[in-house]
Amino acid sequence: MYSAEISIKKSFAGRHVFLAGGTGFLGKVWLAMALERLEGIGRIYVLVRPGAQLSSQQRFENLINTSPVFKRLHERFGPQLSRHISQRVEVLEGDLAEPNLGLSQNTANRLQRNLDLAINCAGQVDFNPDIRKALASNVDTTMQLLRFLQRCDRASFLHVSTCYVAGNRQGRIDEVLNSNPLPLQQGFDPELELANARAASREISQSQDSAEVQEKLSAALEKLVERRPNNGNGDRSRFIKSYSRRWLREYLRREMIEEGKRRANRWGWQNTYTYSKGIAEALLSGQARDIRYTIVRPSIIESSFDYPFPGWNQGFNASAPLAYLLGTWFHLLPAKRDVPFDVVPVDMVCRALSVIGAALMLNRHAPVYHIGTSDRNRFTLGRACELTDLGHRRYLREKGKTTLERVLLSRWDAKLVDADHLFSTRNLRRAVVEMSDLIEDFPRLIRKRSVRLTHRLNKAEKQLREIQDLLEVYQPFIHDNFQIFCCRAIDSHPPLEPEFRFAPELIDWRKYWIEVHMPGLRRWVFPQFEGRSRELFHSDHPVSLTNGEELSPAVGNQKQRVLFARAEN
Amino acid sequence: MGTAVFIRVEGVLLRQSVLAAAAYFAANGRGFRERLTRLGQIAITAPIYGLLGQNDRTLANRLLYVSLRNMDEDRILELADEYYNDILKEALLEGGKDLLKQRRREGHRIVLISDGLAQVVVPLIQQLREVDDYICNCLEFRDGVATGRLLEPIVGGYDTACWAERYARQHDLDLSHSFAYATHGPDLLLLAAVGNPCAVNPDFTLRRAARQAEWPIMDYHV
Repeated sequence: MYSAEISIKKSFAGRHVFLAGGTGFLGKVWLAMALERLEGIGRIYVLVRPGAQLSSQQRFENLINTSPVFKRLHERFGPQLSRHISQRVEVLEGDLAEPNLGLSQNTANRLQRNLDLAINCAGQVDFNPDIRKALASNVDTTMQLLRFLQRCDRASFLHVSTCYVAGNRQGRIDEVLNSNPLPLQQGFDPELELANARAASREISQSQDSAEVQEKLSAALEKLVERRPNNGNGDRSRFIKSYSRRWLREYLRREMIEEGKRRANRWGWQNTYTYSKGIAEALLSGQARDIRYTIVRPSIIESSFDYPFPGWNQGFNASAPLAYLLGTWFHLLPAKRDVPFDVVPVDMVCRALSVIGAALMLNRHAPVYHIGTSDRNRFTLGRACELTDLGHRRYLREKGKTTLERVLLSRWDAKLVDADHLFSTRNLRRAVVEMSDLIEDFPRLIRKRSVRLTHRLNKAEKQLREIQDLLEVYQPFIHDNFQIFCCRAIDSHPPLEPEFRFAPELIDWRKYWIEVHMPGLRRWVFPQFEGRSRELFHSDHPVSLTNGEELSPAVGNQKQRVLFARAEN
Repeated sequence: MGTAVFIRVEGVLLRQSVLAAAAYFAANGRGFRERLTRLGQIAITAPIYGLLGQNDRTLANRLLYVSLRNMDEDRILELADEYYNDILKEALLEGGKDLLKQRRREGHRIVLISDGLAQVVVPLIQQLREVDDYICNCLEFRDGVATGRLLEPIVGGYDTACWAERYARQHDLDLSHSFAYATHGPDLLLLAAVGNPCAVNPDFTLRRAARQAEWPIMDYHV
């Protein structure tokens, strides 16, 4: 294939870019990279939803002033950062899911005249969310943005999807846009599926008034009263009302999640996330004929390689939960050693986004790009597991809190086993439940004596259930999967500037995993699993976009902390 | 023509033998069952290593490193790093370091010879700084997993003397004015190949040979 070099800086010079999802993990890193490396860029329009108490602009300022992603910019520009950002960024108050993106008509008109490129990295990244949320965040937003861009004079559309829209398709996955994106079956009509999914979720919503659900609710209430007869002694009717409301909300949530899973599995996708992304792609390819667009499919986005600094991470749903689990006494991971584990650092994806964005504006783009590593520098699950163990070992040997952690837990390596292993989480949980039931059958005297044991067993069962749920979510990716994502299209436009080169070959997995990724997870993600607060950055020169000038440090810091605390709550 | 100083790392610079490193790797394999198996292998190999070590150290090293078969390269690198930082750094002999510095000051080329694995030896050499060149054993890896075999040339046996002669020819060194410091019986030929041999902390075989050949003997082990 003919490869012509593209100057990324020149391609973006004076161009106006719309960024959706600028407050997410990927969007933030791209924004910081663009502000630092694409100084000649025209205007970056960042769409931010207003918070309950904060305007979009305040939310954006908080982000710039507290997120470690922007620390590097603060260090480089110091007090000039407000001006630097004001000259390049315009925060738009709106909502991607609304018609015209929730923008005022004037703003929309202005954007439609000016925009050169729109990057959509917004979306729901939970694997199995409520189907309504998944469709709203991943499908509706994409379609609203597409409709908006279709009214623009010259805007191109870069849509960020995921490699895993390939679903359960196995083997080498090419960079092609299928008119029928369905992983395993034929006869898929995305519009019909979307309508059916919506109808199904409506049906579930309406079912809460049905006799069957009300019966279940009554049974739950009876059980509760039997277990805790003193509950609601003060105002019984109020207690029942509030409990019923919570029960129904939880019931709806569970049913909506199950509906998403059911529909996804039926068509051959692993989960609701890939299903909704698949539908969005299919709709996009069917309806975006009159607009220049491309689809970028990153694989599992993980800690940064070197930008903004090695190890930056914010992703909860990628490898973090599994990595965390392997640092505990959990020992048997149902996974296969040779399964490709396609992980790509977030800054590599951002480099690729810049290159593809430039190619798109120059009309030299491919229809689809895979941004992954399995094709060019393969990493396997067995190796990921080994390196995760070694990463924990290195940390616990030095910084373990107790002798037990330093001596034993640091050497407690995980073992990859089949899903139906004798000591699998499912079997262990079953054993715990059996034991609890057995205690229930004991004579009363013994049962009284074993209250503590029952309590412990219940706790263990709860933990095992959480682990089992987690492993079930990951199973399609770590056990039943052999996918290699072909990643060659991006090579047809090598960037002139080396800082934008997408080069997964540069990753030395051992160094990256043990020295960059694991410490990154430990610093930025694990604290949230443990209920500890996230580490924030506090700049000496807080950015204010109101007038392009900084606030005084004391006032600014205090203000931003208060606002951030509010936003967090 | 230049001159070189050939120094056998184990015994002259380090208190630890390669057996200790292999045992450390074995004891920290993946999972408890694997650790026990590997340690068992080391326990069986250790007496054989001791016996063969006086004569055929090449075979002894081959046998020793079989215990690392099927171990991941990532784990070996991590363990080597741990072993170097936790154990080897402390095991450097002061007498050896002084010797190295002294010979360096005299302007000789310093060449280290080690039975140890490259993963362990390289950080040591980086720490010592005065070293110009080295030779050590290298494990063979296939798809990131150790096969348990050593790559040629295997360091430790009588072949080391041949290697030293080849090295001297390649680097235009005068062996008759060069030095060699070694500890074990199989280093006899290496010592005999240079003009200034010296037995350092020698074992029984080398001590006897050094006395017979009237080579100087240095003892600073403890």
